[in-house]
Amino acid sequence: MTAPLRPVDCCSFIPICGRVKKTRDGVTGGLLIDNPSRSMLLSIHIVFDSRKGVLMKTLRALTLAATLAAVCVLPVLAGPDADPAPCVPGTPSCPLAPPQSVQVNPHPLNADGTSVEIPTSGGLVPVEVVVPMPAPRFVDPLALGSEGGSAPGGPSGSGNGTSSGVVGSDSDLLTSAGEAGSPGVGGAGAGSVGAAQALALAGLGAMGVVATASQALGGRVSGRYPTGGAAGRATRVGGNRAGGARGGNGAPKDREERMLPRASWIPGASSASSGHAGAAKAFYTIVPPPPTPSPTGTPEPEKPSQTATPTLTPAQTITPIVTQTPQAPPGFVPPPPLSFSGKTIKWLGKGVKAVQSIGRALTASAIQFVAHESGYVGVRVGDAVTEGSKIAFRGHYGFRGTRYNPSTVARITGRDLIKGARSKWALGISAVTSLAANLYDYGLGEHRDKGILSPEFAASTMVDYGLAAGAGLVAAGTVAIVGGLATAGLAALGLTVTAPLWLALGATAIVGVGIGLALDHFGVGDGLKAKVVDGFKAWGGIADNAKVIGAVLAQRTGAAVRQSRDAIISKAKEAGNAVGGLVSGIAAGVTSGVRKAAADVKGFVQRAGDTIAKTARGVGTAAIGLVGGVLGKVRDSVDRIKSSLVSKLPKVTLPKVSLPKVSLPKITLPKVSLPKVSLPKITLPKVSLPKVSHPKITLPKVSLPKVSLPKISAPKVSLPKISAPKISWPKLGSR
Amino acid sequence: MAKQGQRNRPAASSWTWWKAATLAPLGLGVFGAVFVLVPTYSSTALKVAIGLTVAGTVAAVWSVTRPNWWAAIAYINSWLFLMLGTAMRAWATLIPQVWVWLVPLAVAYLLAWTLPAISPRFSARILREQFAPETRWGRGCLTLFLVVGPAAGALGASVGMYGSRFGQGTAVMLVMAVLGSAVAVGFAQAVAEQSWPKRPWAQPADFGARDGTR
Repeated sequence: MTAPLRPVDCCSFIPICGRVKKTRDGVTGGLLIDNPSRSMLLSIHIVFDSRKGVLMKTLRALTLAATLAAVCVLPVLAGPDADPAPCVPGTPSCPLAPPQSVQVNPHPLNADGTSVEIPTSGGLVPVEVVVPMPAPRFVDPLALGSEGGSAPGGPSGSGNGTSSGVVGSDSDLLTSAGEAGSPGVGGAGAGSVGAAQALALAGLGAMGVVATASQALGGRVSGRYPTGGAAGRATRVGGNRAGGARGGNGAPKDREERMLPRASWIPGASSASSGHAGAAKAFYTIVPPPPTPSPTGTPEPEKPSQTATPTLTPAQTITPIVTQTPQAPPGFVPPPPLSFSGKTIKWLGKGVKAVQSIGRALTASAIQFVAHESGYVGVRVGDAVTEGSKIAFRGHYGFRGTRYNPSTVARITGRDLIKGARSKWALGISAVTSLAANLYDYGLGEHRDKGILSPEFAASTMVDYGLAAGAGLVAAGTVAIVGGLATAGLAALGLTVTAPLWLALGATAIVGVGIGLALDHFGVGDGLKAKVVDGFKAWGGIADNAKVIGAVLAQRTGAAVRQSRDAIISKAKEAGNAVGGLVSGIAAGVTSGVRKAAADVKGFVQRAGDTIAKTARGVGTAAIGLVGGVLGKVRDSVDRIKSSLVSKLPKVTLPKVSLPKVSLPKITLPKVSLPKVSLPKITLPKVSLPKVSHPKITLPKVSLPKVSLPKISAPKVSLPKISAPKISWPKLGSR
Repeated sequence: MAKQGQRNRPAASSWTWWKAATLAPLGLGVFGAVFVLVPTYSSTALKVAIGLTVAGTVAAVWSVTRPNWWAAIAYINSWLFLMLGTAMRAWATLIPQVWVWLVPLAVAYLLAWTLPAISPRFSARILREQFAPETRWGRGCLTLFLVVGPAAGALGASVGMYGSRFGQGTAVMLVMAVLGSAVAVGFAQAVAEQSWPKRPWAQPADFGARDGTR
């Protein structure tokens, strides 16, 4: 750095900003970074505005070198293969990898210097976890023939008769041994047999039987127990797959390979006939194979996983707790997966159960139907299920035997179809759909004016749920019937027609849709809902009565509770009073005693003083009387003596009586919370008195007989005219 | 062949003719009722349904009592025709131009029946994929059907009831059309593939030779 060049003072270099300019003494130094936010290292251009020269070239070269180093070297150093810096165990800069541990004190000692014996801990037994896969096996009956009849040491490469892993593996299969050894079935059965298990797992009718064998392929087998079949039987009865080496059609390997359409995505499926080990391997393992106990004992690790702490008390020994993983016995079937309790996580528990039921359905795919030449259907369990548990596994799905009539198989699986329609899952689907639809309808849809709290909503939900579930049952039953008929009809031909799973489900769904449309079209649901609503209303009166009864009971209960409460309170008060009276009595007794003693002392002193005074007075009077005025002075002296004596009397201080604190016990009365008695609204029934229409009493018209009374004609009494005599008064004089 | 059939008959003789005559109209009648009533009642459809039901019943009784390949195929076809007819009526509701859907549907149905003769390997592979799917899609579909399987009828009824109630009749018809077409064609292919080797005119060497497995 020479003076003329003067390094640019890019002291405030900020990559993000990309540009810094600073001027000193007329020199403008600028650091320009193109596209700074992306590839700063790859494209840095330093431009000196004033002096371009050696410095710029040098910086360019350095920048380029640094860039190359960063691009080429740093990723290598940062990679996983990079040689890390020396790491000293135990230092904070050398963290442990998770699975490792550090031995703090490899040789712990007791306080007396003796070494501590550290018992070795047990090793962790590896646990094999195999996830069951939804893998319906496609069982080719031809594989049976090839198995039972593969030539010993033949080119099939199937070794000990394990080409299919079907016959020889099923040690439970005893009765149908002969048929299983038949040298093959027609090609039609190739698809059908494996298909049946797909129906079994979903409860769908396996409509099919492969009845006849292809004699062209089967090596001309006649009769039920031909040679090849006998070989196969011996194989299965003995449970030794080596028996399969006998017999034979000598199926070449490539043909056998092609005749076994395996699902290649299943682990082990591609090795169906690739030798002993591969052939015996299950397509997928539902139950993990039991661990084989080693006769050499439990392997012990070289070092315990952890050691004692360095601070030990004297004579303390370390006893590591080693939990040995129990060895699984042969044929061990792991317990079913944990089921969560529905109390705490109720819905989650139900979901887990639903998943478990689905899982059980998936495991049912291990059931395989194999058509026999005799027309019967053999039911067997694949290698996925361990030996010894196949019978139970098969019986769980309704197949307790190994050989059935095809119609029986159809009936069993058809019954399972109907069972599936009655399962919790199907009923749950019905409930969810009906609830969701009615929530929408009564919450946002056409009937939102009634609301989701109305009895109409409840009635609609209930009716829809019942109809959906019933329609599902009818649909399943219909498909089961039709499938059973198809099975029977085709089985009479020695023909297997197995419906794939989705087709049976599709047919069921079609019937379900049709039934649903018909129900809605004909208003079956509406009629039912109206009746249910009426029922709800009728039940409302019953509910009211129940409420009234409940209210009465509540009132009586409340009265009883109140009485109990009052009794408790009164008893408590009495107890409190009793305690308080006792205490106050004690205190009063003590106080009165003390006061009485004090009063007695005081009175005694006063009386003594009075007596002395009286005596002195008497003496003084006598002296006065006797001695005259000389002794008068003695009186004063006596008075002074008296006062002095009184003053010199001791002060009687009453002792302080500290009464004991009597703490009354806190009596916490129980809170008697009266039950809220919500009196129901008693809606008195409207008693509509019948209109009593008084009958109009129409009195009969009594027509009284006309009594014609006789006219009584009173006799005319002619009174004699009395003519008064004219009296002529004499005129009295005129005036 | 006759002896072979006689020997095989006991395995399937649990279905008597009267049982088949009783149950076949019942099972086929439900599909016939769906065919008649969806999307609306049709007197023509009723006649067709009655004819197919009667024919299917006769074929079922015949195939149960006297093993006959044609009778069995006739019985299955009567059933599939009912489903196919339901799908056709639904398609007709959706698409008035009949040829748009009728030609592909008829071709697919015929192709499904003849596929074992045309391409045995492909036919066998299709059937095998339905039973033991090897493709990702097949596995996914199988898992889906396993999950919804038991509730298929209830789900269908829910679609039927609520779809029309909420004014989604077109969607319901679409479901019915697609489902009916797929099931009818798929069933036809499955039955054809499995029953093809037992056809009356088959040569003995054809048993197993046309199943595509060798």
